Amino acid sequence: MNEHRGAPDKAHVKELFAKLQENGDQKVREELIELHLGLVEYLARRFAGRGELLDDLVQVGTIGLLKAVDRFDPGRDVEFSTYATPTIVGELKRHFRDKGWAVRVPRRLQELNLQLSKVMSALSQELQRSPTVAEIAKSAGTTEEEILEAMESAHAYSLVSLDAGAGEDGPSFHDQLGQEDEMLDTLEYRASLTPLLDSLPPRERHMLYLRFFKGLTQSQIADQLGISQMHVSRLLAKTLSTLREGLTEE
Amino acid sequence: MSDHVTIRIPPATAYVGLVRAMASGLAARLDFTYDQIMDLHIAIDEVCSRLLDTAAAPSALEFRFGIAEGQLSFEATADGAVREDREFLNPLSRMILEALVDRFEVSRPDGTYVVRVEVQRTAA
Repeated sequence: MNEHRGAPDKAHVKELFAKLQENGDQKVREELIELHLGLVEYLARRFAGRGELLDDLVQVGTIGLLKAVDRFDPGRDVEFSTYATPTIVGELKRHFRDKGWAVRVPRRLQELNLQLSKVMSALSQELQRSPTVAEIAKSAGTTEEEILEAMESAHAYSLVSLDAGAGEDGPSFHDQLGQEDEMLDTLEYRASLTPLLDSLPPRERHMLYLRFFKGLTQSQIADQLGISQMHVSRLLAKTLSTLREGLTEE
Repeated sequence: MSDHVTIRIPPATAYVGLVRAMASGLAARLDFTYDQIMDLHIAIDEVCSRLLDTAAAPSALEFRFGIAEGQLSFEATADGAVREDREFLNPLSRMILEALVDRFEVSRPDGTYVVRVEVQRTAA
């Protein structure tokens, strides 16, 4: 993603939007999104230092970007970046307004949270299993209460939308989807769940499959996907809440 | 022999974190692993979500945790009447609870739903 810093070429962006409007090609849409991630990051930085991790803000801002890409009318005489900026900023502002109470995690806990990730992967390696709270506290040189508090604050972040993983998913997830479909077919409640599962981003869907159908633990999933356990917890919680909403909307 | 701790919260998702925090604290005492505690969080989210969805106008949610050697359990209920037009265990809740907890049971002893969940300590 880093190669997309700096302003994208205007003529190229225009061309892509013309193409997107013509045939709705998802690849073109993804390219447009990736081209503007630098803009999202730039805007997200302006909101850093308010008790939120930059990564999370970028995720939120990306949602704004997705909306902007989908709503942009290339026929209008305005640059996309000009059009997208207020949408992205709006999403970031709304995020702080809506979730303010839930995500105003004290700096001390944020730092502990980051430290926790490191300590946990080291401990999991060493013990060859998920560590207990007492073990984490000992290794992090703090109390069990602090660790518990940090775990709960990690959960607070799960309220943050993390589903905007555009461009993050390599082909490896797609490769496995065929196998997943077979698995899902055996479910008695396939009919109501399948459409919802299908609507999830591939990585989130794969994660659900690994946890709920293959019975892998959250640490094993973290290993397999190369992300932290805490990130797996957050994504699972977030994905399930999306599914819940989907089910009750019926 | 088991000890009990009960928490009653207003019927709003904003308070579910308190139940999760209490569950974490109790599970930590029992030496549950981080993975197990995070799974427990998801299970609690799900139970709360089903209780809130199936209760007509609940005044509170109550979780009664039982702490025994190597086992944490809870019984959860919502005060008030039940919405008969909604089933308690939808496909998603079944999927979640089957995968995450050792035992769960939904009953209706006095008209309202009671969910009982049991989780055993694994390694450590």
